Amino acid sequence: MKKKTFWYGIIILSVVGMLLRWTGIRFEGVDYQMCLSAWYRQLKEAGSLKALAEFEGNYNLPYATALLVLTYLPVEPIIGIKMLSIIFDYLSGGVLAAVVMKCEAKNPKRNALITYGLVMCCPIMVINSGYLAQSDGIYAALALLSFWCVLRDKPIKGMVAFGCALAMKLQAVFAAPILAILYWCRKKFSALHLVWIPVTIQVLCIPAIIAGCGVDIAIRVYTQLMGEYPFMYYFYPNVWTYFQDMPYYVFGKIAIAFTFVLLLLYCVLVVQSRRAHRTEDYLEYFVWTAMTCAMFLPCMHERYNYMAELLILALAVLRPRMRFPAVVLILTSLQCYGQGFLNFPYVSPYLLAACNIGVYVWLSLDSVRGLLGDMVYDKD
Amino acid sequence: MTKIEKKLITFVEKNIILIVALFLTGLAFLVRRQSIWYHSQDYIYYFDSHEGNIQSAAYYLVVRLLSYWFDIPMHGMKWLAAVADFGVAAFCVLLCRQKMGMQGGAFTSYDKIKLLLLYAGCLFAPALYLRGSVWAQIDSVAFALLLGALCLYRGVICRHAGNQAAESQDAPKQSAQWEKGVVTAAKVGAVLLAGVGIALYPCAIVAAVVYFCYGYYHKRCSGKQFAIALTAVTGCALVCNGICGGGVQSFFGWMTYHPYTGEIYDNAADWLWNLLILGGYGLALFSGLAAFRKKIPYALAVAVQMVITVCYGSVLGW
Repeated sequence: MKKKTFWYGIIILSVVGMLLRWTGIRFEGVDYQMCLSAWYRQLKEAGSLKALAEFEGNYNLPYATALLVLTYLPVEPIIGIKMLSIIFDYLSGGVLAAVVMKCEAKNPKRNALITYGLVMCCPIMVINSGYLAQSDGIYAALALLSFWCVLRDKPIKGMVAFGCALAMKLQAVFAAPILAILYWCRKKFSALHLVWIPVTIQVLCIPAIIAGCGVDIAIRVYTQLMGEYPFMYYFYPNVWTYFQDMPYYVFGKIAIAFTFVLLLLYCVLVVQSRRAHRTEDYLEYFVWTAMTCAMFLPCMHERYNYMAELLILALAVLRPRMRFPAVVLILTSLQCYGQGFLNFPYVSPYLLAACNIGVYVWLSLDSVRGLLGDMVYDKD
Repeated sequence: MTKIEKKLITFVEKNIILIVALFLTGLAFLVRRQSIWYHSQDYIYYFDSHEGNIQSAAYYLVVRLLSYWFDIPMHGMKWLAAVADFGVAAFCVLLCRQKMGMQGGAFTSYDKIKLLLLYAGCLFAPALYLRGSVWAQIDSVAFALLLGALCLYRGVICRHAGNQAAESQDAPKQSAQWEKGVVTAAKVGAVLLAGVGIALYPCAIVAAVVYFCYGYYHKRCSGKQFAIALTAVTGCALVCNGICGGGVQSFFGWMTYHPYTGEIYDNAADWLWNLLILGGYGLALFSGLAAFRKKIPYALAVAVQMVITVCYGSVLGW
């Protein structure tokens, strides 16, 4: 593919992506009505930095700071909030296209263009930012940027990006396992680089601290979020769908430990496989680790598998066998979004969970088999 | 990357199996501790030896003994089940290791990783965890004893077979008589262990029957050996149960009587459902082992685990 064609394609897809999002720009979802607009109003009424100290939302303060900045701009709140997320959709598309271009496959530019197009036009991403004004696109884009920077051996930038992602939303932690895998497999950056993560989070919290919040505000928000709901299931159709009344106070930590065990074993498998890890492989690991978090961690909202849904699009472009699971995953999530926010006909969450679990088991068996198959049968 | 980090990573990579296994053991312990105060809605039935109960006498003896050490019997039962969980995991690894050893060849890192996955699977399989540490059922104790018996039997027999092969090459040794004695002792020990296990949880007899049938089907034992082994294990279990003060009724009651009411099942669906719950632990455990040994596909083992987990979850009221 010629360079000119590639860039024309990017421009056209960007415009199409914006048009798709613009169709829902006036749509007010439940979360917008109940939370975002109320927070915006509260920040606007206070009218100064001090509003951050009185911020009533359960989102992190850096996001609230971004909302506060928006109150000073001459745009309608609904458009301003949605545009913030939409801008990061472009970043997600760009980063994923760059990752795909780096993979050793035929027609890298064509693949990158298709990936970009999928991200820009995928209904999940369109609804998330353009219709529901959610911030999942923000942290996901920053986490992807972090992954990309570490892949390109720019660990400081990578850690700063990851810090920004974490500062925006705790779900960015779903990208931590892939960073651990990259650290262990590539051995290109030091554990000392991790210091940049808390530093970045703290820097982003400076406006809130100046406004009067405590120095530990970032950590406090995380801990508050972790004990917010009484049950394990919270609308994302994962394994906990089948145990909806399971009490969080008993099984929350167990679920976290179980997820940690799965991720640890997977990391060990990846490291011990002696595979010559390519960018495409790292993408596969990223999909699996992000999805594992969404499938087993407690209290997952219907939007929390956003990162895996984004990544599986890129993997599906590179690997035809991933296309079917990618379609199932996207359609399942679409139904979740639809029945949660857009008056879609109701489908049993048990069925949706079965679809997601099916995809997860398929991905797991495919990945683990591949890793075990690549293992060197060396004599110890 | 700093020098210290590189050295540390090299050390970890060298001993990764051991480090991860130790870490998983610690984490499994903590996870079991976390659920110690949780009790299911039906737990009262399992600690109250009411008239209609269908638990074995050996089980109630254990409950009685535990009440001397623990103020709340449920806690005692959960800790017992938790300890047995570690036993089950260790014995599963040992059994598979013995099997791999029988097939010859040195242990590769692939084998070690697979054994680590098996160990982790046994410790963290939701079905196994729910049954013991959450529901306070004794299945894991029974299965730990059964697997221990199998390990003892197989370990001694394999060593004996190896020695015999070596003797056929060299001159016959005088220790043959002594070795025969060891094998006999191992067989008796295995029968005792299995017997106690089945006496504690009579449903585990199904696992023993299936195992013996499997051996007979694959011509690993003759019909006579099959009958002797099954009779020995069942007889030992019945005697053990009898010593604890129970009759044949308390040993076979689970087959026909409802565990809560002690009455004969009203309908077949109820009966099937309860049999699935009673046998779920064994089914989950052995499907995992079968998948590990490539007898069934992994996807099937995962599906079995999920079904059993959902069954247990639904009974626990989730």
